[in-house]
Order: sequence, then C-alpha cells, then structure tokens
Amino acid sequence: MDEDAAQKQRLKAAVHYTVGRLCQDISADCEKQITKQTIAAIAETAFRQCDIFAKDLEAFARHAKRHTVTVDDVKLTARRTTALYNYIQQKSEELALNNQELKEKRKKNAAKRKSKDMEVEENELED
Amino acid sequence: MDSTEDDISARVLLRRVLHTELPKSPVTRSATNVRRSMRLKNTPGPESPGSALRHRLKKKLHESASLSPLPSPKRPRSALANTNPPVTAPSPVYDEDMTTRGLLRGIIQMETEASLLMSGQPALQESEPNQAESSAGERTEGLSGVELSDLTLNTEPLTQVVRGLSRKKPQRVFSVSAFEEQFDQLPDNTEDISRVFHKGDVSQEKGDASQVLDLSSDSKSGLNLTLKTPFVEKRIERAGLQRKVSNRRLQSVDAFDEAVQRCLEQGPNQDHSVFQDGKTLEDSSWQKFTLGLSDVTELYVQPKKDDTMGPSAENEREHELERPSEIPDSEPLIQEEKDHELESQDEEEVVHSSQDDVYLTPEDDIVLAPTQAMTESLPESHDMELQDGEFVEEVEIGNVVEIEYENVVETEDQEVVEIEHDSVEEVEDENVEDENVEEAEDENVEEAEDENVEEVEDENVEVENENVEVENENVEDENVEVENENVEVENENVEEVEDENVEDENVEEVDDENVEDEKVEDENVEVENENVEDEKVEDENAEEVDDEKVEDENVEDEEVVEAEHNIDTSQYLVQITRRAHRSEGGGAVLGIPGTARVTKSFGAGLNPREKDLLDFVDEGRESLQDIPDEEREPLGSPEFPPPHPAAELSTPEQRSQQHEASVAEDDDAQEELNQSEEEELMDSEPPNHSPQFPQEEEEEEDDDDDALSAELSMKTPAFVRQKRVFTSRTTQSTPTVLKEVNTGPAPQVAKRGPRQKRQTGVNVLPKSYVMSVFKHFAKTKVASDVYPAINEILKKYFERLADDLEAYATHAKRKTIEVEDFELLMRRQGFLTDTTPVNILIEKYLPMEYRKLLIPVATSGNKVIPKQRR
Repeated sequence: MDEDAAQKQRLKAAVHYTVGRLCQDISADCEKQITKQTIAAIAETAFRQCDIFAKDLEAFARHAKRHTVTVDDVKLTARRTTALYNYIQQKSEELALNNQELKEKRKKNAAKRKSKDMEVEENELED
Repeated sequence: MDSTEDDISARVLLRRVLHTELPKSPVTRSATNVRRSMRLKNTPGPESPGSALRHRLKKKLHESASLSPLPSPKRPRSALANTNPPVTAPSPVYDEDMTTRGLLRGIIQMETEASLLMSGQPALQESEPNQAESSAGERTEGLSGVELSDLTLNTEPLTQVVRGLSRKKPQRVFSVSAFEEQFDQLPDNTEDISRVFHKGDVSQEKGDASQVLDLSSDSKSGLNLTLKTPFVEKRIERAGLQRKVSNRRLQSVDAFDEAVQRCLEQGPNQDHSVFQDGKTLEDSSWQKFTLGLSDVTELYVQPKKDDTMGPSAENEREHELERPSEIPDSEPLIQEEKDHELESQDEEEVVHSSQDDVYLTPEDDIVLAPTQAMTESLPESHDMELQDGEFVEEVEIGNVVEIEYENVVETEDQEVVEIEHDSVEEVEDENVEDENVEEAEDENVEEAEDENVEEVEDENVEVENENVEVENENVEDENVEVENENVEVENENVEEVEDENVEDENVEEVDDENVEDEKVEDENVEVENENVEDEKVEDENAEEVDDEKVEDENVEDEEVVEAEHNIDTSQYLVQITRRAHRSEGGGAVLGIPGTARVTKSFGAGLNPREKDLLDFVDEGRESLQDIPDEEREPLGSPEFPPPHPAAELSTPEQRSQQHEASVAEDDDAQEELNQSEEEELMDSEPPNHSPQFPQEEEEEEDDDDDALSAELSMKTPAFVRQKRVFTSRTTQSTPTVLKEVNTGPAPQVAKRGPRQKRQTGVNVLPKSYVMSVFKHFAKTKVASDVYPAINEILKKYFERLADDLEAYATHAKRKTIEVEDFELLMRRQGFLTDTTPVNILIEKYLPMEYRKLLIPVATSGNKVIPKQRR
C-alpha cells in the first residue's frame, strides 16, 4: 500500500512537473503570469481526470467485450469535447495511415526479401 | 368416575369453589409449579371436584392475571372442562401460554365427557397421564387450597372487570361468577359445555365484559347455544357497520320518479302553458318554497302530487321563476331534479314540469341544500328569467340542468346552499350542463339549460341574469367544489373570465348580483367572488355561458366528470350555440359556453392562475365556438386555447376520447401544449418505457390527449398521473385517436391544422409533474416560472442521454440499445460504482413490477404458491 501511495506521489509529481512546464510555455506566449497554485490545481485536476479516463476506458473496452483498450474507446471518451474529439480523430487517422504505410513497407520488404532470396538461391544454384 | 362429580358440570363446581373458598391473594406460582403441584396431586381424590375446580380456576385466573388476561380465564375453564384437555394439547405449551386453544381444547374435551365435565375427579383422573405434559393437568389438579382462594379473589373482580369491558363478539371472559350464573340456568351439562366452550373462547379476553354478560344472557336464552357467537353481539357489531342512510335518498328517488313521470306526461304540452302559469304563480309558488330545505322538499313533493300536469308545471315554473328570486333551494333542487330527470329522460319540453317535479321531488337532502341556498339568496332573478316564452325552453333545460345541477349540487350541496340562485335557471342550466358533462347526462338537458339560460337572460336580463348567474355560478361553484375545490375556483375564474369577456348583455348587472350572492354563500366564496365579479360585468347570457363554462370547467376539472364532460360539453356547446341563436345573446352565449367549457377545463388545470382563467375563459369561449358549433362566434381571446390543454391534460384518461373531441375543438393552440405535455408525460417515462414512445407519438397527434394528459397530470399526483398517463396512453392507441378525430367536427380539425405542427419536446414532461418533483427535492419554495428553464434542461439532458446511449450501442457494434448500455451510462454518471451493483439500485428505487422485470427471479413470471404454513 505504501508503495502504491509512493508511486502515486511520484506520478503526481511527474504530472505536476509537466504541467508546470507547459504553463511556462503558455505564460510565455500569453505574456502572463501563472501562479503556482494554479499550476498545482491544474496538475491535481489532470491527475484525477486521468484516473477517470482510465476507468472509463476500461469500462468501454469491457462493454465492447474486448480485453484491450483501443482507439475507439478513446474516441468514445472524448466525444463530448469537440476540439479534443476532432484532434483525436485526426491523430487516429494519421496513425491509421502510418500503420498502413508500415504495413505496406513490410510487405514490400517481405517481397523484396523473397525476391532476393530467390535470386540468391538462383545465384547459388547457378553457382 | 365420580358419582356426584360426574353429574355436576364444571360450572357447578366452580361455583362451589368460589363459594367455599376463601378469598386469598393470588398465588404467584408459575405454571410449572402449578403443574407440579397438580401432577403431584394427580388424583383429585383428596380434593373434591369443586376444590379441584377451584384450584384450577384460581390458577388460571392467577396465571392469566400474571401472564395475560387470556390465559387465565381459559385455565379455569380448561380446568373445569378439563377432563382430558391436556391430552391433545401440547400442554406444556399451553400451560405457559394459556392459549385459547388449550382452553378450548379443554372445553371440548369436557364436552365429550359431558358427564365428567368439570368435575375435577374424572377429569383429573383422566388427565393424570396427561398432566405430566399438559397444562390441563395442572389445571385440573393443581388447585390447592391456596389456589382456590386465589381463584375466588380473582374471579370476582374479574367478572366485574369483564363486565366493564365490553368486547366484540364471541369473546367471552371467563368469569366464575358469570359461569356460575349461567350454570345455574343451564339445566344441562351439555349446554354448559357449550357455554364453557364459548367462554373458553371468550376467555381469551378478560376484558370481554360483554361476553360475560352475554354468557349470562345467553345462558338464559341460549342454553342451546352453539359455539357461534351470540346473536346480540353480531347485531351490535353490525350496528356499527350499518350506515345510517338518510331517508332523503329514498324520497328523492320516489319523488323523482314521480316527477319524471309527470314530466313525461306533461311533456310537450306544458312548455308554454306552464311557462306562463309559472310566471303568474311565480310569487305565490315561490313563496311556498321559501322554507328550509326540508320544507322545500316537502313542498316540492306536495305540489307534485297534488298538482296535475298543469299545476305541477306551474309549480315548476314558479319554482323556476322563484328560484332565482326566492328560493335558492329550489334551483338546486330543480337542478338536481333536472339532473335526475335528465338522466332519466332526455330533455323534455316538459322540463318545466319536470323541473317542478324535480323540485318537488325531495330527491335528496342534497337537493334541498342547494335550494336553501337558493332561497336564501335571491330568488328574484329566476322568476324574471322564466318569464319568457323561451323560458319554457329554459325551464326545460333548466330543469334538466337543474336536475343535473341538482345532482351536482347534491354533491356540492353545501355549496349550492350558499350560492344564491339568482339565476336558478341559469345555474340550473349550467349546472345541468356541468352535471351533464360530469355525469354524462343527456346533452339535451344541457341544451335545455342553455336555452333556458339564454331565455332567462333575455327575459330578465338583469335581475334574472344576476340571479341565475349567481346560481349558476353557485351551482357551478358547487359542482366544482364538490369535485375539486381548485376546480371550482378555476371555474369561477373561468366564469368570471367568461363573464367579463362575455359582457355582451347586461351581464354586468347580473354578474354583480350573482357575484354578490355567491360571495356570501359558499365556501366557494372565492370562486363565487370571482364569478360574481365577472358575472356582474357580463350579461346574463354571459353568465349563463360562463356558468356553463364554469360548469364545464368544473366538469372538466373533475376527472371523473371529464370523461363525461367532454362529450357533454361538446354537446352542450352545440346546444349553447343553438340557444345562442335563439336568444339575443346568441353570440355571446356561444362564446361563453364554449369558453365556459374550455375555461372550466382550464380552471381545473390551472388553479393558481385566475387571470389565466379569465383569458382562458375568453379563449375557451372562442374555442368552444370553434368546436363543433361553428355557429358560435369567436368570442374569445386567442389565449383561450393554451389554457385549455392544460385543463384537458388534467384528465387525460377519463376524457381521453371525449376530451379529445372537446379538446380538439378547443385547443388548436393547445395542441402544442397538450402535445408537449403529452410528450413530457411520455418522456417522463423512464427509458424502460421506451415502448410507449410510439404511443406518445400517436397521442401527440391528438391535442386532446395532450390536453387531457396535461390536465390530468396537473390534477393528480405525479406518480398517479404518470400511471394514468401511461395507462391512458397505452390504452389509447391510434384507434382512439382516430375516434376522436372522427368525432371531432371539421372545425376542430381545422382548428388543429394551424397548430398542428407538433413540436416534439415542447414540453418534455408535464409541468405539474416536473414541478412536483422539483419541489420535492428542493429545500425551499419553488416558483412556477422556473418551469421553462427546467424544461430546457430536461430536454438537453434527455437528448444527451439518448446520444450517449446510441454511442455506446455503436461502440458495442450493435444497433439496439440494451440494458448494458444503460449500465455503462450509470457507471459514468456515478450511480454505479464498484460497490453498488445495479440490482441494488433497482431494488432501491424501482417499484416491484419493474424490479421483477429487471432482476430475474425464480418467481418472476411464474405463479408460485407458497406452502401453507400451519
């Protein structure tokens, strides 16, 4: 239990650090100051929201009778927030493309290898 | 067996015991001790049976005193009768418990052994073996000298106590003294046994003094008593249950019948002749009736009987005439009579006669009640009204109306009484109308009423109108009150509104008068006042119309009435229009009746909004006009329709069809409202009721439905309404809608046309329901104007809900929303957690029926008959 608590603390600290960095960038852009309490509040909120997300994602995955959380589950989670939803959708599409490309490459590679092998074999045979 | 003992019954023994034994303090021995002692003394040999008995009795008394009243008396009994009581009984139990059962058993056993009976000897001997176990053993023997003394001590006071305590039937307290008394009387042992038995039964309660008494009395008469409870007791019991029915009813029925017959006979002949006669006789006839209610009825009766057709008619006429002026009572009577008549007969021209008859028939006290009020108020107007030839019609109508009204009035009675029937006729008509509507009586009557009303108005524009109006209002009010106080108020409001709007003809004057009258009287004072105000302003016609409307409203308000009302109102409207044409104030009348009706409905639905009512009234009139009576002139204000649906909603179920028809008429504008309401109602249904949605749609089509439901919802408690709505909805399918549509005249349809665009989700849920729920959860007061905001919120909520559910279903690659989708939703909403499973929530919040649906249980859907537990 302590371990979990310690783990949690570390995670929170990590989140807090990241949020702080982000806020720094934003404040630089807006040329406004962001107080520490604000950062702490944002960090805490983000942390709890992660918890909620995780539970929801798990519930969605189970709802779809799957054991793995997929992009669809994520999309379902974010459907209410339009901006985020759109963003996620774009990203997912890109990922899908990438995946496809990767697959194609692999196929090509596989094909090339096969041809090479064939050639090698032929060569060998020839030789 | 004992030679001597055998012959002696337990009673005798007891008596002996009592006499012989010296009073002693109760022995506080435990039953077991007693038992032991008894057992030890198995054989009563050493003791005489009497002593044994005494012991037993004492013990029992003692025990009963210590343990409970019941056991003790039994014990002595059992002891007495106890030949082998313990045999069968689980004696140890009985000993401790001293149950009636044990005692009875003992008695029974006693009986069987008749000869042995109480004498302790034989019983004791027999009981010996049993004694070990049974209390009987104790009883039989246990009596020791000490015990006996206890018995004596206890028995005497007990008896007295018992006597003091009267109980219901067969309970009998065991009292030795009583016992002895009876015993003396009883020549037989058997009888004693029976007695004892009874007593044993009775002994359960010490406090059954009555029983003791009964025993004594029974003994005399009922030596042959069986185990049944004495007759006296039964009677006594029944007496309480008996209802003291007033004789009035009887009279009224008879009188009514007479009246009816008379009317029938007189029928068409009388209309005018009678009418005229009435005029002349107005004063005289009326004067007779200025008596109290009872007198009035009597008077009414007499004239009927004595008078022939003519005179009766005259009387009626007079009544009518006088009604407004003199006899407020008469009107109600008349109305009531009319109502009755109406019911019995379709409007008859003889209405006049009928009216008279109606009056005459002391139909009910109720009838009287109104009449009294009538008399009290101003009989004037009525006379005036009657004067017209139309009066005849009116009379008829009025009679009918009156009859109806009276009926209504009866219900309202008190109210009526208060309300002065200035416009008896009017009131009658209106009342009749209302009643008709309510009672779904003959429409004709209404017509008659209308006519009468109209006529009356025409004739006695001012005075009569006023009176009539007052009466009508009163009547209406009364009607309203009877049914819904709120409704009444509304009605009045409506009336007022109507009146105001109507103002066509000397309404003002009349109204004022009526208003005044009303105010004075009824409980509905509020309503009346309203009416009065309105009435004054409005014309007689208006009043009538208003009254009618109010009546209508009242009717509508009343859910029960509503169903009828719808039909009636529609019919009524027709009549009204007819009358309107006839009378000068045709336009006004038309308007009024229409509005009246509508307003009434509104009134029902919108209690708090008097102003609205006024508007509604106007609108109602208009709507009414639109309704089947196209002839009517659109009086009203456009606002009318909206309120109507509300009213309609109040009684969606009852009036579903009728209402729809009427509503359809009224509410073009209301359709939306109704629809929205219906929608709301429908929406309100939990998802489980999704199947109902289709129905809702159907219903939505019908404004009426909406209106009905809305009204209904507003009136009845939310949950009830919900149920009703559902049931109505479910029951109402397209066919009903179609029916309504079909029944509704063209104008209705036309009216609907413009409004028809049904806005789905205009009102997600019925306002009343929403407000009630909201107020329940809100700690503070809630204003009703928050409803629109709540409505929006609800709309969004449900939309989002449906959206989420759809997303979940799609996520699971399904096309149908299932329960698991809902579970997921609840989890997201936070209702469900890892610790609270769905079933818990189901059990917590849903009613049993739903629970069974959702949670499969072994018995769900099956008929399981539990084992009989013995």
